[in-house]
Amino acid sequence: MKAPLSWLRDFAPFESDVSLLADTLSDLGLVVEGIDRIRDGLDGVLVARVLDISPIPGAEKVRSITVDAGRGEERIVCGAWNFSVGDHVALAPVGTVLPVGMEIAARKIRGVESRGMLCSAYELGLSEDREGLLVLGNQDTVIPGTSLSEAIGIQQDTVFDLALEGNRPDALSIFGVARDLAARMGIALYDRWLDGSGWGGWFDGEGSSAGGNGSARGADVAGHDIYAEDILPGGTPTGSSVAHVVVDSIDLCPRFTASVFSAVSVKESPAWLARRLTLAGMRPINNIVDASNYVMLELGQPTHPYDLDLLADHTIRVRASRSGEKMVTLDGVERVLGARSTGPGDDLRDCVICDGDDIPIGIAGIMGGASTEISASTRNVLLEAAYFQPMAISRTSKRLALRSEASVRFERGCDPYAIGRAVRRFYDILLKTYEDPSGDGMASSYGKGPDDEAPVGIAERPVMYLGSLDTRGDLPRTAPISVSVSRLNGLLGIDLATRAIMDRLERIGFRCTQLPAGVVLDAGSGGVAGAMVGSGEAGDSGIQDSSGDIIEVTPPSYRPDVLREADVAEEVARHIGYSSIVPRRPRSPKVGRLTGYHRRRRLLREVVAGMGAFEAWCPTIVDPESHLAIGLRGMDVTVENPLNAEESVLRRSLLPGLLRSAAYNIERREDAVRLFEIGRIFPYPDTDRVNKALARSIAQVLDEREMCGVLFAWPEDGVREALQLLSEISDTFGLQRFDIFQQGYADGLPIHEEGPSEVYSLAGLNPSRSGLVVASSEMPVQSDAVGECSPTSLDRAGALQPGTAIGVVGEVDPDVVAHFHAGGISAIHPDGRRIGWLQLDLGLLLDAAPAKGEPAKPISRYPSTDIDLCFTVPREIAAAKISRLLRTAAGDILEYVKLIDVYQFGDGRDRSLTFRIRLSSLDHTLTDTEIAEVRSRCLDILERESGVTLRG
Amino acid sequence: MEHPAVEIDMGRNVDVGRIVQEAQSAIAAVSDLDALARLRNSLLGKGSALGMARSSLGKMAEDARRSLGAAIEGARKEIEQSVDQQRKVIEEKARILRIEADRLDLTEWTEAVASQRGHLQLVQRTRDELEDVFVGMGFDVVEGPEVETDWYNFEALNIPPAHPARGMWDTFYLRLGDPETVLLRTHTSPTQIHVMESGELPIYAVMPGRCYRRDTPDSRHLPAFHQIEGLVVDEGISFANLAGTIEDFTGAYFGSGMHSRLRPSYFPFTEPSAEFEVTCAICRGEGCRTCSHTGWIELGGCGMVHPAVFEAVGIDTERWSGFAFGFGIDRCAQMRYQIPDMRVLQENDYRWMRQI
Repeated sequence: MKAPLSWLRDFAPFESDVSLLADTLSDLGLVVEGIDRIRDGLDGVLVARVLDISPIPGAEKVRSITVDAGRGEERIVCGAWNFSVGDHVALAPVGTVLPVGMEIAARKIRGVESRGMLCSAYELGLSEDREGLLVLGNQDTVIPGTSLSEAIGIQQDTVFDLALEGNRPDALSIFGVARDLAARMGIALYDRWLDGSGWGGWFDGEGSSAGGNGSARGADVAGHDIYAEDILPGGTPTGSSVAHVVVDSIDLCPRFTASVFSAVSVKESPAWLARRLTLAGMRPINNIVDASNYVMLELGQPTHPYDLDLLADHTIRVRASRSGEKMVTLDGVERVLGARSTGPGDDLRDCVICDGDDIPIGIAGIMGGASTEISASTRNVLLEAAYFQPMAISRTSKRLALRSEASVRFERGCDPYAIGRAVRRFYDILLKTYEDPSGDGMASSYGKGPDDEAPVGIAERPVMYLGSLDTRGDLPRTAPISVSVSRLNGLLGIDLATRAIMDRLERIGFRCTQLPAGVVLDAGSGGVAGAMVGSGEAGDSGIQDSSGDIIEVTPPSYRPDVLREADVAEEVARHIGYSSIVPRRPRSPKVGRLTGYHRRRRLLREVVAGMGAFEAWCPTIVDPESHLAIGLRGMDVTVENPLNAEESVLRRSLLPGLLRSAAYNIERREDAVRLFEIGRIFPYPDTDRVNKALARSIAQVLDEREMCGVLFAWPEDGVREALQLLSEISDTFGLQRFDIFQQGYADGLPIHEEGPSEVYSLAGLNPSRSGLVVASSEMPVQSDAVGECSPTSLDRAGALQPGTAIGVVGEVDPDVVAHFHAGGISAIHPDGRRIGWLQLDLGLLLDAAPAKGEPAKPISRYPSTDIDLCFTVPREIAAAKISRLLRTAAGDILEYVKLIDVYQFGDGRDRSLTFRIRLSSLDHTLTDTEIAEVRSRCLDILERESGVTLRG
Repeated sequence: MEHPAVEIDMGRNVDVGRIVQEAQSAIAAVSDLDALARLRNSLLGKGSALGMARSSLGKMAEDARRSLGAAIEGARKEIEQSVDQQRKVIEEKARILRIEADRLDLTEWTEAVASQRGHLQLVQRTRDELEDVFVGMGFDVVEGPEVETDWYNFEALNIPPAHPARGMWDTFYLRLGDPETVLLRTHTSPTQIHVMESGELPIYAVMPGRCYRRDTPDSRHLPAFHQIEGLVVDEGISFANLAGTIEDFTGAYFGSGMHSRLRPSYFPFTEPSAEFEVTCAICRGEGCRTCSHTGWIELGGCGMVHPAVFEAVGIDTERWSGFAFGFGIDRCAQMRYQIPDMRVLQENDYRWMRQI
């Protein structure tokens, strides 16, 4: 919100130390986001009286004007025709720079020297009016030669741009800001603004809210004639009535007032009013609408003026919308009402204002319609000033995606008891728009409305106030809050005396009563005063002060946000200043630490980065096409309201994102790319799971899986590099080797389908060069301490079973590589490069890693011996099978079995595999006999179990 | 060493001193190891001057024999020493030659095409650093789901349906359950609820993670971003403790001389609520364009846990109080590395990542 300093000063005598004011505002939570120092922009522009107008021979469009601007006669050539001798106009002498940026120079026009320029309102930055000159009122009281800004009441100003929080409806007004600021600075507001001494209670009553629909009352204002009788809602218009109001939905609109003003004339607002609106960020429209907007900005209460004569039957009906009902709002957009739920608890009722034909003419509290708009021909105005149910306004505003200055205020909660003041202020401002400038420094209307009415003095009563109707339902009331001084001090970490606390609160309109000693609060209170108890118990709770620890605090009706003790504490803190609270570090009784999962994940990242991979961050919300492109089956979790169709589902694999990033880099001539990402994938849940989560019987909607995906795209990369990393990872985490389960080898392991199929999907991979990473039967089963498990497994418990797939390793399908353009530059790799891929489920991998480490195996002090065996192995038999058999055969003197050489025979069927079997004993040097026994056992078992023999 | 001229039989003088001298100059002239070996033999062998002198000893009188013998032995040692010395000289020369022949211009090294060491992502690294600071302050690190129900993301945090404050978060909703019941979390605050629901008190925890808001990407916003949330629930926790924690963190993470301040703000789940600002890292508080000449940069939000939140998770507000805070991890990284456009974080451009 924009708050001009001059406006704030209407309420209290603020000093002009702008930075002090700004700091204080910010410290109050009315954060100053910008300070605009507004020059009047009219430096040097003078009021000039037109003395003579004479034609210039041969010129049809311009005339020579003689003016008096207090410096003797001056001659100006001017092309405007809307003024006559004796008028007061604005003269920009030579050298003036106008707000539009134009610098005035002496010119010769049609042979006549022109020393200056007579200006239009537009050229002076005062309005959009470019038609003719700005003509001031034709009064002798304006002295030629005075500065224009003085003559029309415009000053230099400072505008604070405030960022206001949603809980402070009271601060959405100049008055509210001034009230808070004055209280903090210890400055008294001017008496006339204090509640109850002029602005309060016109027809607001004493904050009572008796009665429901039908309890409307008329109201009188002393000094004004009431022309019409007031009409009860629901009643029949009488012959003398001027308007009729029916409130059907009093729950949506707990208070509705309608006030009728007749004999208005619609015109442009005077400069001071237009300027204030402009400084506050609103566009001046006409004096009626501007007066309404002025009141909203000043007091925070939106009002809406209707052209009474355009209201069918002179009737206003407030009711809930009917489903599918439509209306066109002032902005020309057709709005469909009650059409879409904004969430649980939404009954789809939008509050609308209708006319006597029951046709919607406005969306209550948000935006009116064009049909009853104030226009040049308006003569009678019905001013609506109401209190709408904040939640209803919020829902409707959200449903229609329509926000306005009014809706922002209503949805935060206006003061339901300050409506009368707003109506009265409206009348006051409206009258001022007709005042002549001789009155109190206000300018006359310089506009030229279609009627070109001469300004009229206030004595002529340009406007008649006819009366008001006030319909009330159950209005919210601020309830007294019992506040424990000791607890408030404890919450803030300060030690403020009871009196000081009350003083801060009273300054901002809270009523405080200190209760006698012995009153304590109910447990968990914050709203209701507790019962009286014996003094002994009071002593127990640490309350000794004879004057009592409890104060009863009643917030003013403009602070609907203050509901409990903590809210009161914030008010106290704001008004002593947050910075006055001395910081004190709490002592954590705990030793802070990362969980085992976190530690292992950090280690994993180091290991992967150690392989030359760069860590990437790819989008979680992806194009559904990216899943199709890698052939990932199953359902996607869809975003209901995506930013665009290309990013509309949650990813179920890390592969597409990393492929895209690899392609991005390869396109930019980075030839060697390895990327990895640790991030979550989001498998589609079954309905049961969703329902359970919504019913809060489980904590997590989706079985989110944190995955580590590594993409190998150096020029010579492939699955081997991925396997190498897998081996490094299992070494790092002290895991036994994983088994690889690959299609086409008959002796595969049984696979346990742990978790969603995404984990063990080979989608996007080359099936002949890819496989599942499976926990081998040798995997130590982990049952970990609380808090050590992965954070993504809130609802998952249990250890990793042998045979569980924990990820995939392989090569990306060449077609997929081509699809993502990740194949590289064709000159270097005519066939496109191979891309290796490893994706592991970290929940399974890291939870399986031993938290405290396996006991380290002793190493042998005796020399080791190698047996290298070279076998001819048919294609159908996996090398893993051979090494598993060799391991079995070697027995307990085995250090390791490694495949050390592969030779593919020309026939493409069999290949020669060389295994190294390293043997050693912890307690002796192996004898030739022992070694020979192992060798023959190996050969026996291989021949028996697989039919494989030594290469001949 | 003085070498006396020794008179020996056969009437000939043996000038040991001269023998040594001549030998030494011969040795010094040799430049390869084979020649040196040969020279040594010729200087010390039977046919050499010393050898002949030694073989004549037997015929000499006792006294003369003793003195000449000692002189010969002395000369032999001296020559051996010179040979050894010269050998070292020759070997050193050869070594220098060998090494010189192996010379490499260190600037002619051809860099491997591929970077052998990878790089960790900047946001992740920033997150690690933040976690470490809080671990040092006695906090645990906890993570929560990215997909949440309305309850965790809003309701339990004192933001009922249609509450106007929901406008503070542009939410991505998921097509699961009833409309707008399942969503991508808009902040890390729901993890607070998970932690408090787990029931263990006191709580000193930070909760980092990825969040989502329906913001069109620009230089300061990405639809996905990272936050770190802090939560302390204990007996006697006050707003002063919150201010102290923020101040300690600021000094520990941003460096000494960097301070924090709190400003009133509004969050439905804290009361009193505050925004926290830290000394502008660019101007160190002097005032510059980055901080709009205030000397302060807004970092995050915080406040005392709202009693309604405690009620939602069943924590007794008579006994326990607490505070919470949260701020952007990406924003910390942006401040620290002065990144003008956040979008670079998600481009995964090697040229950029390599610098970090």
